[in-house]
Amino acid sequence: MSLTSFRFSAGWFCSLALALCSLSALADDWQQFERTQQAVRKFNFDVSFVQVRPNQLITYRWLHGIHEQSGSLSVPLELERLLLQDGVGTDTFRRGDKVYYAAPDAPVIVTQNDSIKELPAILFEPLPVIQQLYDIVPGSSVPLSGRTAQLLRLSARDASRYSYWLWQDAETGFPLRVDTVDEQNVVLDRWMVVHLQLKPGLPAELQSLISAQLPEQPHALANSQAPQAQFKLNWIPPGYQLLAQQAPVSTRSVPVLANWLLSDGLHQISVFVQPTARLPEQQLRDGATTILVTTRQNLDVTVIGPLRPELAAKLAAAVE
Amino acid sequence: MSSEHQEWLSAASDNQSVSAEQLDSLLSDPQLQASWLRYQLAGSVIRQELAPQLDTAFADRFAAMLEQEDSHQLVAEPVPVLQQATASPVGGSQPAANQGWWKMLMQGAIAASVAIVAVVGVQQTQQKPDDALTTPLPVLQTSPIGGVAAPVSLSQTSVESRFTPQQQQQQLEQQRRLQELMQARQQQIRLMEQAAAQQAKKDTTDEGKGQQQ
Repeated sequence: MSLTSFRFSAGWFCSLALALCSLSALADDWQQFERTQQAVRKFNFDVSFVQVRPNQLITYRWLHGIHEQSGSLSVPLELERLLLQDGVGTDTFRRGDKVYYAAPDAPVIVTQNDSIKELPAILFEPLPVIQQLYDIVPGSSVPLSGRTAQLLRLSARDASRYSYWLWQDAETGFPLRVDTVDEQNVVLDRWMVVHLQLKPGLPAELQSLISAQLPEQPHALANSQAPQAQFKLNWIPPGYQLLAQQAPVSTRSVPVLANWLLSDGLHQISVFVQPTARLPEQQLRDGATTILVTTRQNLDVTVIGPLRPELAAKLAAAVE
Repeated sequence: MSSEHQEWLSAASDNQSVSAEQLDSLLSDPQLQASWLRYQLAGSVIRQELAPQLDTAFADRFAAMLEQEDSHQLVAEPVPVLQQATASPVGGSQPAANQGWWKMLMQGAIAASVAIVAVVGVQQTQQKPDDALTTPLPVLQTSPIGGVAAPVSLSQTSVESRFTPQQQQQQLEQQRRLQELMQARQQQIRLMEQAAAQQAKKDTTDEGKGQQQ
């Protein structure tokens, strides 16, 4: 807060008072952020958003509603739907804590999740997790689609992480735009609401989801022993943890000899080890996601995740 | 203007409260309003929030400079094609194209287009922040929501004729592998919480068994 404030002349004796002010202001800023997290959970809405990446622009429609169940033990049921606005793709539903992926020509997949992973994680993950990784700095307000949007900058405490710039609707707190920026404030990935309609009740499109016949239980995950005993990771980026329990990985063409999934609670990094195909090393980027393929001896190591290329290389080199 | 004024004004630009008298003086004093604007602008620049701006007077100044330039007259050299055209019965009564008024119009048009090119050119070079969204970086294009086999394509810079067909085949192969890994990753992320929940459940049942024994 006070770091970015701008003074021509200010007595240094004010600084103590300012520090006290900024502490309470900080709590206010996180409260502002929490409004946004509440808005995407509590509101009934029909939203369109675009995902802008270099050479790529995808438009989605996103519906969400609360169904007040009748009965003595009435727990409001959250219903959500995410679908491509243009073209055929996976239709994603959420009913309570189950997410259903309905792809064309494939059976419906059920997973246990209380948010759709394809939406920006920053809007859904628990506040303490985010507070541990980011500092919050309010920016100025700008008009977006004729509404007043307040900028909240979530700047990464650790330089290895990208930062987020979030614009929230000043009136409702609804997120209007989320930019993922690197340390030079270059936008890597932009998520932007292009149409926002808040509704008084459950959107009509979600009515049928209340009683739709959907597979009840997610498939139990095969408890296959991880084959990675012969490999290990001897370095992990700061703040990340190796997930002990992982879903098995299957590929059609080249077998995966070892794989790890790292998480800091908000982002995930995947590491795969495969027999080498003697292909050129590659470094690619998909929005904020870095994809790095390195080759050594008879192994290909692929790192996929939202981290800087240097760190991806360091992580790939940490495979033993 | 006293520095006392500047201090509360500067504080006010950082969203700190102002008294009614201070607000009144701000509303009535154009000089204060000008410094308010300056503080806001300076704050925005420091926070790197300001969109690149082009001085609006730029085009006017450019036009003024253009007017001061000497005008050079084109030497009217008869072009054979034009001669033919004027000789033809249809074009015979038309005035020659390079007469005074037309020439002036052309000069004006050229000057205007130079000004436009200059303005557009300067704007383009200043649009840095959004470059990341427009310049071609090496990009992996994946299907938006996984499970759908959309082709992964490298950007134009990497698939060029400098690669032999064999190399291109190799790259295609690699794209296929990356596509598979991206899908595997997406699947893992979707199942992450479920895997953790399943493990927790298993742990508690194991504990229960342990207690029974």
